[in-house]
Amino acid sequence: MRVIKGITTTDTILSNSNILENEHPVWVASGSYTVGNRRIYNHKIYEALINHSGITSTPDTDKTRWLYISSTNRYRMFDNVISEYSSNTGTITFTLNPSQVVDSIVLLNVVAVSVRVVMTDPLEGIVYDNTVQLAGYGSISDYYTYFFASLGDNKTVAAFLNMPQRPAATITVTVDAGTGVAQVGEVAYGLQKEIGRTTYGTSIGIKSYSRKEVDEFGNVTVVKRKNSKFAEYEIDIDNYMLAEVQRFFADIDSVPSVFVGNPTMEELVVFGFYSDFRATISFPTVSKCTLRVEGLI
Amino acid sequence: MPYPIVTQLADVPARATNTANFSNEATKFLDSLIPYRDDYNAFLAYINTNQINHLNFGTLVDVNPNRPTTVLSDVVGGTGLTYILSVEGFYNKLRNASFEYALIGNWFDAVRSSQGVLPYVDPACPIIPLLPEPHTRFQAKAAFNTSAVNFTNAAKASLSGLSNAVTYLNTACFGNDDYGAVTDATITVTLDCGLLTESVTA
Repeated sequence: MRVIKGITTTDTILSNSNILENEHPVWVASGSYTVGNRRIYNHKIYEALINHSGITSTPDTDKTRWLYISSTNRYRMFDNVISEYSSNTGTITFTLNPSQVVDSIVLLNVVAVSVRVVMTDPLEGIVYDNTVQLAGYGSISDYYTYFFASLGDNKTVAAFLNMPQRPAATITVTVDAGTGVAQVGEVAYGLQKEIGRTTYGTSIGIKSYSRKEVDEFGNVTVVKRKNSKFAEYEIDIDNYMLAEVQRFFADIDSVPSVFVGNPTMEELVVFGFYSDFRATISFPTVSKCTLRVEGLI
Repeated sequence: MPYPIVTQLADVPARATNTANFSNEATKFLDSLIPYRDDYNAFLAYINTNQINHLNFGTLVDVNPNRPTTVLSDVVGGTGLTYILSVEGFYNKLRNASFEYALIGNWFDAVRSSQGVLPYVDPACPIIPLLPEPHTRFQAKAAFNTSAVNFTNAAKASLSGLSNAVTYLNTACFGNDDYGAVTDATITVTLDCGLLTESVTA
């Protein structure tokens, strides 16, 4: 069981991206705006609610005049909302310059053929280069199967959990969709911590925010909304690690993190917050623990 | 008579990135190969049979000397094609090429209108091979694969041939013909090439 405490992405960290940030003009203090105008401020898109000019308060604080719409396409994969994705035709390529140790990076809600991560150290050069294939192409071997074989279950999570620790390294990620449109819901990266061993008894699920109302005549009204994953991990933790793990969970309280129950099982990878951690010292050397994680939408 | 119009191919199905619509798009794409092949062969027959008279030294001032830039020679295909991305890449190049036939046809007709046609087959002009029957969704697996490989091989050869033919015509019609240095100050011999009414055997 590994947990990756997320790092907030800033302009300094995101040193390069092939996704332009030009959906709308940039907000300018004291500018003139009419209802419906959209402007970009601090990588977020806002829409004017009333005509105004000469105002210096920024859109993120001026809720009377501005309505938040979403993050820009470039930053949507760093905004902690998995269901809203960054997209680009062909490939999405970006470079992170964290200036701290990062040994793990996980991409979620990905639509692509493959994801490649390259870590480059300023002194050593390329120290890591790995590609994860997402598309279920195992059965495609000729033209006939290409056109008629059942559509494979494409993975949507690409996890890179074995990167070397190089505090000065840059990390370049390439999401390749071939001739299609590449999409990435969220990118989470940081230093992983192994806290124990995931055991059988772990459960997963989906929490739906949709509303289904049934009136007195049996008619159903459905308001479709988003949903999120949740997981309840059963973990064995060595007793000598308990104090350290407890301090770690205190540290990541309310910090979006990636919880990896098993890197080969996409369903056990959840990006969100933990809501409950409980350890029962069951044996002389091992404790039985339960960790409940609520995923982000 | 202007060049025959070529029906454009349907959208290329994307197995990895458009899973929800792949089956529908695959059906439409396969079905569009049939009219595309018939139109394309008619287009090639028109090019092949109208041999431009590059020996007509008339003026070409109204014709754009820049032949259409094509992606034809860049088509990837044939045996050894790796699947998924290479297949999608090939079909996308084929589809993109289908947008260029109108440019080539217009340029060809402009040159033809200016130069006229030869009464014989120009031995130096590449003859462009036609396309075979394409693979269809009504074929069984073995026949489908055989047709697909044959069609891909032929498409690559045909599109390369079309590119070569256009290049040849461009060079033959617009290239400078250098008959060597004129060493005599006075031209004493008049060359009468006569009427080219008889067929010439190369």
